[in-house]
Amino acid sequence: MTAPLLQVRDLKTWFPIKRGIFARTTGYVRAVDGVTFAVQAGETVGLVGESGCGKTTLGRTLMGLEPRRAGEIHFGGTPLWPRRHSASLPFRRRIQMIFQDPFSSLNPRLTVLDIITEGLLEHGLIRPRERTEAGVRLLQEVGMDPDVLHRYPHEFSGGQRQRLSIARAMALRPDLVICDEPVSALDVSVRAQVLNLLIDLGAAHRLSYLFISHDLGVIRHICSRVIVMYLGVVVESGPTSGIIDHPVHPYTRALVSAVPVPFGSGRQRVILSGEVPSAANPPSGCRFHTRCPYAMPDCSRIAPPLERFQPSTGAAREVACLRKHELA
Amino acid sequence: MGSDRSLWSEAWRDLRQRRMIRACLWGILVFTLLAAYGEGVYRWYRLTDRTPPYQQVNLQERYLPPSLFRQPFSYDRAGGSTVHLGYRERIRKGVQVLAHRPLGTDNLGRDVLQRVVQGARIAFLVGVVTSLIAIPIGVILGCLAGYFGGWVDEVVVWVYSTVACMPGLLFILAISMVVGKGLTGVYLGIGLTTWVGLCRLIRAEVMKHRDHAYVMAARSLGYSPWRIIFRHILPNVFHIVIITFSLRFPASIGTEVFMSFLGIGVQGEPSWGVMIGNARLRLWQGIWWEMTAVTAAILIVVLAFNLVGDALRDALDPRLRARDNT
Repeated sequence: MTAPLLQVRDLKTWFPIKRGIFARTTGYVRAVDGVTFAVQAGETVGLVGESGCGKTTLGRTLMGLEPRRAGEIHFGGTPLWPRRHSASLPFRRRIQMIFQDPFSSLNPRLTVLDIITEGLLEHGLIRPRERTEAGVRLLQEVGMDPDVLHRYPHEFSGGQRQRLSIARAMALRPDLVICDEPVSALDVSVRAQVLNLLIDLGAAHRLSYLFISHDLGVIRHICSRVIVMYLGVVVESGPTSGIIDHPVHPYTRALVSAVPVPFGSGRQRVILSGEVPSAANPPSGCRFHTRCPYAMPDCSRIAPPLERFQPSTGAAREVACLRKHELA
Repeated sequence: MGSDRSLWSEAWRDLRQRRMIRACLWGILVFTLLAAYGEGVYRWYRLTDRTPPYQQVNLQERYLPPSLFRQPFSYDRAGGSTVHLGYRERIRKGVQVLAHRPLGTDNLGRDVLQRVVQGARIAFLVGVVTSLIAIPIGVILGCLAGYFGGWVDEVVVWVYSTVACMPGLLFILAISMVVGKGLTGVYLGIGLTTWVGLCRLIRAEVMKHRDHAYVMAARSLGYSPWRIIFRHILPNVFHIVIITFSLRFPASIGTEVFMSFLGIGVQGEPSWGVMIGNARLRLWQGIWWEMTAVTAAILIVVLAFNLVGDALRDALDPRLRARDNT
């Protein structure tokens, strides 16, 4: 197997909690607390978990938008992010991000042309007079009418705005696109269109996606592999269909059973009690033991490592659970 | 409707629809034109090396009241009765009287109207030049502090807190002592002390915008911090600059008046503060017109700028707009 496009090792992003008049750091919110995974070239990886589990922070840290506390990010074998702005530019071109909220991710004071072609100009990929041409091409690529070049973002609907964000991210011909819940703010009716656009573009340009979502239906539709996060750590990862059809980790089971099913298939729901514990003070041992229906005394003492595991039914995967052999 | 290119045009429409604001805008326009005219007169007489009319001493015409109060249709300019003349002749002489020293003269026989116009010129200069000093300082420091945070923010906050905790007037006095009395001292004194409020506002607003997704997107596209600050964020907070400008303009005029009144402001030229200081001495003798003309001019200009500034704030502040927009 060739070296992965993106290799993340033991990544940690902690936010300091400051208190008092001298702003002493009294603790950390461990939003991402030791995450390891890889994305191969051309692969679409889903990152799933409930709100507040660190998915978005992980995406932003990968983009270098949040400072990381520890760990390594390697992109095509090179460590990210270089400290110098100029040194980071080549990587900016190759990794792009699509944001969740299409209403705040486009600058309201810039025209469509400015928004989608500014990156090309900044990176010296086109000359100023080729701007309109590039803009028209990009709009066509995301299925929009080229007449809108001189309009402002507020004149568009959510789905169209998200197409514009996609055009902006695709303009630089990246190798990896981090999609931070790109369809969760959209109407159900336009979700499928935007997802299919992403799939088509991915196939056409051989893109890798890291697709952050809390919607397993979307993940199943678009991703070949899925990573399940809980409270800053990975609890299970492997092939999408294998994991969604035969989840092993109790948290994944709960997530999968929470997906609405038409006409009540008689499946047993796993209902989790309580809220996600605070990431500022995560539970000892296995982070899920406070809400886990299968918890045993050892779970609060031993943090289970993420290990390769072959259940009796379903695909091979990595799971972090002490009782995986009994649960599989 | 959103709040984009239409923000400015909608604000402009809002303003024009209000009769009071329209009157104020006209007032500001007239003030500007008078200031330009005053500048022209000033330059012309300096160029030709003659005493400008507002400085010409005429001891025969000291303390001339405004022309309306000189019974223009009964007496001519020399004070001779026109009662015996024909109807047409009386009107002709009367108009001549009305046009002569319309706002009266001061203790040296200088024309009050001409001096008020010169005062408008000084006031306008003070408003513009101090803004040109204060606004760039406030905007640049505010942007840097708000965007970069960390030690940059701490330094900027320290600097503006230090400036803000000194009484403004003492600071202005100190500066004018250093650079000498006169307009330069006024410009620097006011300019260097009044950027703090704007800096605070810009800093807070930039901090808010820094976490917006569009700034995140700009960062992930690899734009330089300068580009992000000045091309992406600044246009989104620029309404604050406009509002601040229209509200600080009258304030700086007021400060100039006060400084000139104290004798550390404008020297040898009729600014409004100089005129008030002069008129004050003879107010008790019943020479009311110089004081009245100057204070009326100040009132109109300051009121017009303040009303327009408030209306601009209402029209441009997104928090106030959000209600009827979405």
